[in-house]
Amino acid sequence: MSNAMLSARDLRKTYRMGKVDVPVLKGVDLDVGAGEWVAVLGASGCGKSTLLHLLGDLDRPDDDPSATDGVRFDGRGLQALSLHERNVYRNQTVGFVFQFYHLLPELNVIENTMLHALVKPSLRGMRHWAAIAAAGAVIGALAAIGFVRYMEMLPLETWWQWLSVGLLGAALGAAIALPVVTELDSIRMRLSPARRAMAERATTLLQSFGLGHRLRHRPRELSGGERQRVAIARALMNQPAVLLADEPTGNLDEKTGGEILDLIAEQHRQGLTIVMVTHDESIARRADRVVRLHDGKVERTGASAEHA
Amino acid sequence: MYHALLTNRYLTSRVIPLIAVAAVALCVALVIIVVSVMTGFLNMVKDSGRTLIGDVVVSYAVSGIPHYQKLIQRIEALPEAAAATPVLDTWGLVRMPYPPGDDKQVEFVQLWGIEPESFSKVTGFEKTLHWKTPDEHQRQMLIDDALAAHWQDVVKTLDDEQRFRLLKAVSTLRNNRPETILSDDQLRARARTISEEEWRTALFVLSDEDDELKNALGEDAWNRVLALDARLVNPDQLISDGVSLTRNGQPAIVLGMHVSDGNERTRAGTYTTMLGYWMPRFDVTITTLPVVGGGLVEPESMILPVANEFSSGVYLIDDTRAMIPLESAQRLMHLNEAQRVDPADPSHVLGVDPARATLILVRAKPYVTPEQLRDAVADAYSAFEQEMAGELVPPPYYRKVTVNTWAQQQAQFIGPVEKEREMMRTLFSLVYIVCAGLVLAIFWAIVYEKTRDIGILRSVGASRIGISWIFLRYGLVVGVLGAIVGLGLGTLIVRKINLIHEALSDPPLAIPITVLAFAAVSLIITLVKAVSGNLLPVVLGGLITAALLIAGFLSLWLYHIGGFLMWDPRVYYFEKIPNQVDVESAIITMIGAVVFSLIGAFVPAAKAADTDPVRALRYE
Repeated sequence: MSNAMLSARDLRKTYRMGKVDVPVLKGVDLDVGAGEWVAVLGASGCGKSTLLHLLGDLDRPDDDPSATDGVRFDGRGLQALSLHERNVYRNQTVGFVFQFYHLLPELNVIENTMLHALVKPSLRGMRHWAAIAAAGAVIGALAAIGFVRYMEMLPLETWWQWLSVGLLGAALGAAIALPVVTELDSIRMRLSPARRAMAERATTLLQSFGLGHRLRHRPRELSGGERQRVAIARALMNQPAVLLADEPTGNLDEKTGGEILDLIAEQHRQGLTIVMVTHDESIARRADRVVRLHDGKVERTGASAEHA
Repeated sequence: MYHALLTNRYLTSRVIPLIAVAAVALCVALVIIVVSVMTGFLNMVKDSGRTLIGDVVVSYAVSGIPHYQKLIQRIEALPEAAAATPVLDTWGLVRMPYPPGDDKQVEFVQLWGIEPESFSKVTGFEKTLHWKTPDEHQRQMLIDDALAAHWQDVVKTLDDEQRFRLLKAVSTLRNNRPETILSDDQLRARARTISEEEWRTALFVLSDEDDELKNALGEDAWNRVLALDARLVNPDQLISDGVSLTRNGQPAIVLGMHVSDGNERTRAGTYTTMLGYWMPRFDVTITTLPVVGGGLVEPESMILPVANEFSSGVYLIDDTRAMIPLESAQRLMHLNEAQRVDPADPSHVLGVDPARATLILVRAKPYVTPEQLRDAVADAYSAFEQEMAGELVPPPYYRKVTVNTWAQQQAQFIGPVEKEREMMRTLFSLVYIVCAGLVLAIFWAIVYEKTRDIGILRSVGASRIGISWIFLRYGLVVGVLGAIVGLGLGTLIVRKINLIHEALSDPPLAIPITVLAFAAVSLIITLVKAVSGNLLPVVLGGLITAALLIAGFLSLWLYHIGGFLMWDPRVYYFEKIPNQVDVESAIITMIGAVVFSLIGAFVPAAKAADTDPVRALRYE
């Protein structure tokens, strides 16, 4: 599929178990079109979750892929992204839903939902941090030299004395500037209207998922179905392009699982691209297309009706 | 933004970080307590040195500085100097008035011959005088002493009526049975015939009953008795005697409070007099060895009444020093003004040897540093030396006249204490490493426990630096909170250290009773919890009960043995433990605790950053 939003070519992943290399993915090709719902079907241990982790950049494929291999999003290979861009990709392009919900137990429902949005402002490129560190270093060096001269701690007669004090001050200045700016940013964000907008969006999402009465509850106070709804709301918080769901109903009873699938289907109807991993054929049938994985390779792919 | 949220939640939702805060707080409190007490001790040493010797000391040991009055005039003319005073510093023996009998105790003392008026201007001498106004018991002793010395004079002035009243009062006091009481006529007749010795007895029988004697003698005669000792009439006489070093107009001595064994310090810090040996009642004999001049050394002795006693707060000084008038000291040391005669012909007078003083103590004016004053005094001494060329006894080649600040003068004393303080500071700074180790261990456990959370955060886009900053920030908060709590705890203990010491050295029974009562309550709660079948509350309750029982029985044992003296003034010079927090050290300690907490958090933070999200999310 040439106009695929998300694609994988000859995707390989080998895990090392002790002294033994265990290949999990042995050259997977996959294309996911925009707005498509793809179910990855397969038995336990066939590499479904690994494929999802690679698509979401939680994990990296084996080294030395060719320029066209690996995972690509909108034609751009994830391998070529910088660390900062990869964080942004996980934060804003994809949203994960896990079998075991994976909510932070210390945060309440609304805080868990806002997690993507809370992380977003902290994602700054290297240039940003380098500029802050440089400013801190300059101020630190000047302050250190001024302090040493004022307190008459050292004579500062030779170039190396100036250099030593300056370097020490620069290192201290940079080390202090980075956390200070981070904290000031955090305070600024907490006081900004964006924070309120964030809370409003999370509330709206949760209300639409029927969790309006659970906003201040902790995850341990929720049922399995409610927890998974919170996890989906969290994944959708930053309006991602792709939802990556790993056995989203695997830990739920049939009725609750059905409700969760209805929720996912609703998102799909609204245009969200979904890649869902499951071992249950009946669940896979709800997707537009099913990719059957066997022994680390795509065994068969086709419309879900063909798999029925 | 998520860093602050998670740090706050991690901190408030579990006990482990609170244990880390408590550990850091204990470390900080420990260092603050130790360094504050040591710094306070050092400051007390310095302050007392300054109080006792002024800001600058001109010293010329043994031989003394001749024409010192001219030197003092020069120094007092300096714009930097507020006052100067001469001192003759020597050592001597004091024969004490105890025990009864001829075999009296002798104390070795540092004698300071001083000019009381100028000495008080330079030092805080007047404020150190201990006895202010005689209490009832001391008044009684003074009346006894006055009657013992002057009873004959008192009896001589009594008329027949007074004598009759005296005998009647004695008769009433001695005889409880009516049939043995003599009639008034019989008493009047007896008053005319009894011996002098019997009058003495009569006076002493009544002297224990102030009012009886006063009534018997009448107002006038009673006032004459009181007038025998100015201290019975003038409530400030003890102080003025001490300040002027006189008693009844005669030169007198002021002893350090601990020179006499008659004074016993109570745990409350006051003094009681044992067996009536209140020193201002007595005279003492001073013996010195005047070593100036050639030939055999003959000791010199002098009897001086005790005017008062002083308490400087420095045990070492109070235990060994005594003040006498400068003239008396000069006579005792042969450093008074005297004619210089020809050894071959003693009738041939060669000239006059001036009086000498071995120290000149100088007080600086406000805002003048001791160093500035020292330099000015040194210049003044040089000018004095030139003016008096040929008049000065040349100093021995190995000992010159020195002009020192109080700190230099006390260097031998202050130096070791400073070294000791730095050593303690260094040793206790090792606590920081313990602090870092504790934070590292606790945070390592937290990171391990939070592995899944780290995976979740990575899945939502958190950077590795962002993840590590959560734990560094966490370490920072633990360090800051620990430092603040430690400061509070340390300040509380330092401020109340004398109270704690008091409780240890004289433990009230209420403490063991209260602690054992708490132990009993804890035991009951533990037993109730044991019924529920859970092991953890039982173990925790058992440990708390055991700790309380140990503390209770330990304090009971302390009460039984009468407490133990941790801060012995004989060892630490001062009677009270310093109780001021050293702000500079406290700030350094707090910063150190924060920095080392941060260092301790670095390793777990790095581990957290390195956590593989895929592996982390496999946990459930």
